[in-house]
Amino acid sequence: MNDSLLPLSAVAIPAVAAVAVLRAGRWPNLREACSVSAAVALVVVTTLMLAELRSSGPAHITIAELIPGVALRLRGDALGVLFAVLASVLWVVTSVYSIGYMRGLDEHAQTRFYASFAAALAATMGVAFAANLLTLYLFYEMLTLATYPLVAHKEIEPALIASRKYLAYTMAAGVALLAGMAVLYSVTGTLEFEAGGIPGLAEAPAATRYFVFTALIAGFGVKAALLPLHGWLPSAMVAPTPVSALLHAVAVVKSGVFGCIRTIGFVFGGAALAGLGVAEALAYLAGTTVLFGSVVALSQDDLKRRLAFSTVSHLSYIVLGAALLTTTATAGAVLHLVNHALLKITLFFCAGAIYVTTGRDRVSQLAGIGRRMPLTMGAFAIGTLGLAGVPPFNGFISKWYLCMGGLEADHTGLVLILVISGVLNIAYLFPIVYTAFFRASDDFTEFGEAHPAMLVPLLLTALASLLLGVWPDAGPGAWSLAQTIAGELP
Amino acid sequence: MSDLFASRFEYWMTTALIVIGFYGIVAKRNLVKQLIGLNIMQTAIILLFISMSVQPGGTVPIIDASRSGAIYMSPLPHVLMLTAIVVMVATAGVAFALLIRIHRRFGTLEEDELLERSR
Amino acid sequence: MQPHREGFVDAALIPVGLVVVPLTGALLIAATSIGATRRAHALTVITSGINLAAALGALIACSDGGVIEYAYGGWRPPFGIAVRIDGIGALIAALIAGVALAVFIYSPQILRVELPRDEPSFFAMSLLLVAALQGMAVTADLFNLYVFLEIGSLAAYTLVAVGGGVATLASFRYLLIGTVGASFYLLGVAYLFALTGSLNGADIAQALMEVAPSAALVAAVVFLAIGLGLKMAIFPMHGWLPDAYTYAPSAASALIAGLMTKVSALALLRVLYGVIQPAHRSLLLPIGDVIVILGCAGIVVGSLMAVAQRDLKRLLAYSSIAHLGFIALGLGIGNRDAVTGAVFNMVAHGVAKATLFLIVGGMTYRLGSRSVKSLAGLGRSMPLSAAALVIAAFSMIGLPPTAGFTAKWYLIMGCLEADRPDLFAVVVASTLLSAWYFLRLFEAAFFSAEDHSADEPLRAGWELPVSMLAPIAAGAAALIALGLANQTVIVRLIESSALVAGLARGATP
Repeated sequence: MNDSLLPLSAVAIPAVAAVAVLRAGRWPNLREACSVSAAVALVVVTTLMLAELRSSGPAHITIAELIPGVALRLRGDALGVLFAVLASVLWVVTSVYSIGYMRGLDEHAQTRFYASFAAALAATMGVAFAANLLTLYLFYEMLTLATYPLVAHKEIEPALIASRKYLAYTMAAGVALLAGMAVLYSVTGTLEFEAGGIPGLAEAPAATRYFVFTALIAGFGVKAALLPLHGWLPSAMVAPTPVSALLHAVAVVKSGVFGCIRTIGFVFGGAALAGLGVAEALAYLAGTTVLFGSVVALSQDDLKRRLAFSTVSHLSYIVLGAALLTTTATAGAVLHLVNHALLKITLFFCAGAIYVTTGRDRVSQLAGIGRRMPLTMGAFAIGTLGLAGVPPFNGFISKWYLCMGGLEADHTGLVLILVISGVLNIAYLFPIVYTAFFRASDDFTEFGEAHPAMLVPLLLTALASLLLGVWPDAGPGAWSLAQTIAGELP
Repeated sequence: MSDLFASRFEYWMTTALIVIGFYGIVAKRNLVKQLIGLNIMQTAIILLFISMSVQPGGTVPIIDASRSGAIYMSPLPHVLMLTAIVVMVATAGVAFALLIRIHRRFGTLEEDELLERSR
Repeated sequence: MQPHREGFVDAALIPVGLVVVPLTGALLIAATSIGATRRAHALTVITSGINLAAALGALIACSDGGVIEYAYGGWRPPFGIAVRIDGIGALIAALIAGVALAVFIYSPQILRVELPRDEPSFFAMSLLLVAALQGMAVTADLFNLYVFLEIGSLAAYTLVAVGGGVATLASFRYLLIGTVGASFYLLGVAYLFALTGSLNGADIAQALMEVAPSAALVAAVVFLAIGLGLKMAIFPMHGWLPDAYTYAPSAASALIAGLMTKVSALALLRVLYGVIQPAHRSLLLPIGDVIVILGCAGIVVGSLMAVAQRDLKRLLAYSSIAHLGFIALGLGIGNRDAVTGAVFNMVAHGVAKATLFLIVGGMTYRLGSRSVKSLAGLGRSMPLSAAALVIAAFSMIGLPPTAGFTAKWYLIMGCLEADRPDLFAVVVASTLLSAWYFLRLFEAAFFSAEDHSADEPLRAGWELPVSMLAPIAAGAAALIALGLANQTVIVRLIESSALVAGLARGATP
């Protein structure tokens, strides 16, 4: 296999776009054209990588040796490509949506917004294609710094406080990663990902493995919003909605989850985790987070905060699936990574569309809105049902496999948690849909449906959720990829 | 080190001088006095070097066939200390120049008053 | 002594280019160009250009374990004064020459504001400083090192003092403490001389093999370490540094902060691991331990103090103390990876800190203020400088792929190999501390509610003049280049030099 420029261009396209956006700041139309065309180009690249993966194996490129034996290296394996395709496709949708949202609100500092957004995508691509832990760490930190301006976007005190909180959490996470990585390297002399675990790690002393696992999971767990580390995510909802939609439901948080999967499957693997008990502990921690997120979401009146706690809960579905260490559960986890992304982005798009059109951002203010914005709220309903795991929406399939995996691994308690959480999902989201359609109200007479630039993206993602529910292998073939990934891990 | 000191009382002397100089730098509140302390310290080190070259009964280190077998003073420390003296004088020169400028600007060389006036 | 190489005389060009050329340049400016700023600047740039060429020559000659040896006037050691350049020496020489050239290209504009009419004297003194630093980087003779140390320090005192007012006071304190440091160093040299009868590093090393470990040897090393520790501002001997860096003119701050302390650190490295023999290390172990503890304290205290600062230059000064703590830590641990990390950090921090001071100088030039608050809107009014600020700060924090990460990584590996989880924790956690104060700067620069970019800046126009921006950009680019090419630098220059190659991997004996 020769070096391929595809992974490099996947990182470079959004990075160049970020610079281009900054240069084109004075001409908004040109600036947005940069964003959208870069997003489209990125989809082309990631699709090509998918094709290459299917035809001739992972495309890879080595850039520079950063420490002895470990290079800055990109490699598009199944997991990485799946994540990259997901993020890039959703970036296209979000770019279009952002235009409607940002112009609809006449936001300030739009140039910085689009530039940071593109930079965050570049970092996400790097995370997806990182061939080793060091490269992953590099892009993980870049992602932190690229998304920081987006959280601080409003430049008002709550936004600055939220952004400081975000930085404190994520920089601490970076330190944990660095510590885990250093110890790992000192034991094995390599940081290269290997399906089924880095060779030699299983022979390391238990205390060392324990430390490395804890440090790495703590590091990735911050972005994955695992229970004691989730505090930044609800605060970060102060960011503009497109940020919440793509970054805080897909790119950033999923990078954390992605890192957890990498750690469990590609750094440790079953052999090195055997007898430590940390995987089980992680599974139960994730289970607790699932319940916690769902319960707290019940009491949130701010729509975006409610969705954020729902995200906290659903991210842990994925971590839980990965931590169960069975093929079925892993496949379910990977599939849920895709499905939750589609569902949650739809919900956030709806929240943003409602906010731009009506100025409402509280759950209690939404009674009767369904009659004025039926399409938006229809999409919202699809998102709700999908998250609850009602067939035939896509959430059902991934949740099914997660439950099957839980039963295979003999963790009936965890399966129970997943079922309860499904019920809670209905409890915290469905009332919104219900009151929106069935409660009469005169509040919204002067409003109509959302601007097409927002409406079309949210309908597309909602339809995609429906499609994937009926036909899980549609489009890029998420289901077959998920099975490939799970199959690689012994 | 004890044997080294016992046999060479001049080491004790230089040590005492160094301590005196250091005390001046640390404890005195007047900049000129601090500078004097610094000079004492430097001089002590120069003396230490010179004293190392001393050979009892030694003579000037000039090679002379008629005095074969004579004991010479080691010339190296002397040469080094010529350089060190130059360094010391240069340092003192810069220090005095600084002191003059400080005095012009603040009107005093007392550390406490300077602290107040430089706020 | 190592056997002298063939082509001994040809190699003379390099030490001459490194030390004699800037020295001559300084004298030439003092003699001919006082009052003629343009001529003085031209001379300075030409001189430091030659200097850089010589340093690059040394880099090529000294890679992969090569050594340049040269005796001034043909008087070979132990009688004469010798120059000995190995990979590390060449690396530091290149750092000095590179930073100096960048600062000299940068300085005319800002000097016109900060030091009108005194520019030629500034150039003369700066060249003197460069000559002295290069002399320290390449000399093999401990007394010669003292002389260069003092020449450089005298130049630095005057460079700080030209700031006027409070700067003279800061300079006087710097002079007192600096001279005490040099005196301690000289005292240590005296002990070594008494023990071995020589001043040449390699020669002393040879002679020490026969000398039994004794209290006098311990005293010598303690005095040397205190002296150099004062010069390199190891905590708690850092008192002179914040004022000196803060009140010096910007260009001088960049030069002094970037280079001065690093060369003293190099001298300490040479003394601890080049001169002292492995046989004596067990005796000296407590000294290493003390240096390690002080290094850690410096990291923590320096970072915390930096967090509290409002003046950017003072903030950078305290962050220097923290980074010198890193270097001291690496030198104290003393296994191969830790020392490699320390040496790499000398370069990484030297470039990053010089770049940062140049950026702050640019702010002073353009906005007329250097407080953290005045950063507000920097992202809009000076976007390229702000980008360079971000890159330099990444390197200071230690994020890949910048040079600072490499340095930190090697240091971390050194801690792990030495089986010191406590030090490991300090180094790793220090990332958070340095991130804290740099991210505070980012917040001010990019998101501050009060935006000064709409205010009338001191000077209009987009960004800084090219002559100021280019050195800043070069510094930022160098940090990334060093980070990406670090393996070349480390394998070919640092690890191949006898000093580091001779160190044990793993725990210290």
